Amino acid sequence: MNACERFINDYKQSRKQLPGQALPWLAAMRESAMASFSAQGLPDAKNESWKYTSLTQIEQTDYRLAQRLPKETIERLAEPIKRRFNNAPCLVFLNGYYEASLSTCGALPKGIILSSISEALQEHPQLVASELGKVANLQAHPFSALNTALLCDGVFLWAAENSSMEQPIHCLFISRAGEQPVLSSPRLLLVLKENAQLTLLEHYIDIGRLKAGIAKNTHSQANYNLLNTVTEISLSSAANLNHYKLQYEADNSAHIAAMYVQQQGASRFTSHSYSLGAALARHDIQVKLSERQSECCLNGLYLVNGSQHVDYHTQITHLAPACQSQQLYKGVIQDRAHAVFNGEVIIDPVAQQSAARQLNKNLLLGEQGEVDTKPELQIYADDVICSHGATVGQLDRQALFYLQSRGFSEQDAQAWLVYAFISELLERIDSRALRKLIEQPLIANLQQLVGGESDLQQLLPSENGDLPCP
Amino acid sequence: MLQITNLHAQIQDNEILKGLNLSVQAGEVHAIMGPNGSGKSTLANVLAGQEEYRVTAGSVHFKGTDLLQLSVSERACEGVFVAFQYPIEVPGVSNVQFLKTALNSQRKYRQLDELDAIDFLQLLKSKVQEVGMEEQLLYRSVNEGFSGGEKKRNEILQMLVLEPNLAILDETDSGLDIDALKMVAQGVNAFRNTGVGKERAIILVTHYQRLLNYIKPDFVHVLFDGRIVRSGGPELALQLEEKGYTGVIAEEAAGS
Repeated sequence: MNACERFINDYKQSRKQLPGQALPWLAAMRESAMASFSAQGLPDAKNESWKYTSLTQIEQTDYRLAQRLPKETIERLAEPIKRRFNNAPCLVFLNGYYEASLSTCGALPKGIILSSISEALQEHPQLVASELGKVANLQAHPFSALNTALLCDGVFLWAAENSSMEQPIHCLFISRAGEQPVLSSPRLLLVLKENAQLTLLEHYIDIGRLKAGIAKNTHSQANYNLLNTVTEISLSSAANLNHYKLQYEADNSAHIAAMYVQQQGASRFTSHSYSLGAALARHDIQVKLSERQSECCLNGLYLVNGSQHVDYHTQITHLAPACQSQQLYKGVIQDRAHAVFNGEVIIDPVAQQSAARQLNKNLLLGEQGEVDTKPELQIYADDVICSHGATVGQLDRQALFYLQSRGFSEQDAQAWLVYAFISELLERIDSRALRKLIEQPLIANLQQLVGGESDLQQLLPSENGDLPCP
Repeated sequence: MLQITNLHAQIQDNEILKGLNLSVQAGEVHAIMGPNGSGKSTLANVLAGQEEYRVTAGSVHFKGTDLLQLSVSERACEGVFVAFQYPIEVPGVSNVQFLKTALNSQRKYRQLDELDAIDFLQLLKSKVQEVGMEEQLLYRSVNEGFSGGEKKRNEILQMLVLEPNLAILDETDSGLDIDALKMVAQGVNAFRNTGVGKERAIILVTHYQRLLNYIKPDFVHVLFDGRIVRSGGPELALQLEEKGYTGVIAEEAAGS
């Protein structure tokens, strides 16, 4: 049995236990998604969008569907989660299962519904039915079809017209290794109606990193889990979503993610995506600017070493006039690590006065790393401003010399210059709390990457949230 | 403090320094003058440890240690500072964090306590006033988008903060207007005068006599074709101004 057949088999055996089986529309959606998945199969190198990303490891691993973890394990996590992330609202998932006892919803502003998908299926089935699967593209992405068929739980967020919330919504997905590698399939369904304003963090972390703080190598049990996640985002007119993602799982695990965004008139979507840990991480981001004057800004950063592989595939489609898109992705690649960036921008014939900018910059810190970067522009309108650029470079020798000539050790000079390379993205994080939460693992990771004695943590915001000098 | 003996150095197989000798004692200010291509900047870069320059013969001893055996960073920590002719821009590293890390790296090397942010800022602000630099430049990326004059002032600021034993100023006066020149000279004089009892020496590398109106050297050397061909007191700079390098060098050749 190949991997694809094993997944189909797992689905057949478990479909009766999946949530929402009493809802005929959901059962039908699962069936059709599974049919789509089995028709597509796992993509191979002949598939253009998977040309540089091999799925051999996934094919060769015998995954089981993730089960809910024992009660004692869950209880033991309450303290470290509280210590590390004392914020609300915070929804916690363990191997894809929502854990209410670890989560804090707090008091939500009027008009905002935030719950797990399993709860939402019971309490707001019509709302879920009207949105689930509407934005995701199952035909072009077999993993999204697989996620839909096996959908077990996730985040349901519904923000009514003019609702808003300052506090970021923290969605924490903790992965834990067991005796058998497991597949978990979380889903996020985020719906912002007219003029709603929100900030949300999708946070993927290995249990070892949670317990050991920010240390990179936890030397706990190897975690070969596969996490296959789908985020669907629907933004009505003038809605504004700041979306953050921090992916920092175990070095042996695989992370496959697809995010689909549908934007109506004058809506604004900002993505900040940080990919740090996994043997294989694939991030697909597809944005449709469907109505006039909608804007999206995609920011991304990947830091990889060892034999890690990271792949960002973005696709932005301008379907209406006067929309804007911006992309800035940066990567730091060390050892034999491999990074892939493919940025596709499509400007429909009606999308006059579109502005689309795209830039991918990579820093190679060694001889053996590999970067494949490809901009893909398809422009069918004539009155547009589009630009793209891609660079792969090394640290500036003159700058390294200059820092050392003032007393920096060689490693410190490297660490500082790498930090300088990525700081542009960190400065775009406009929430102090989130900046701290993201910078901490990032800098620890960076310090492991290049070494150095001087404490880059001094660059972190201090406890009261102030940024260090200036 | 600094003893250079028969120094030969090359860049990309071109020999630039061809047996240079120089001795600098604590408390002294030396000016090294010479025409374009005579090796002035090569000397500064060799002392700083620029890897493109290869030393093929000779020795450099600094405070009794073989300087050429030290890494770039160790030279800085031992107290050698070169103010570069073309300071490098370092986008993304703020000037203030750069200075703080540089100072604390050196203090750590010398087994001194590192300065905390408050003490450091206090020290920095007093030095910023001495060189007449706008304080907002501290919070910008190192040298990025600075004017030529601002970059030079920034080099002098680094010198004042790091307090080296030996400061080598490589054409710090080039590209400066007269006000900036005065300000830079004032910074250098402040460094020189507060150095009493602190073992300080300065080497000024320059094309023009102008700078020496504001910083009075103890010795002036003429560098030509990779060697020091003539040494003297401050009056030598005036002769150079009057007769030009060719005149003075021809005189030297005729006299020898």
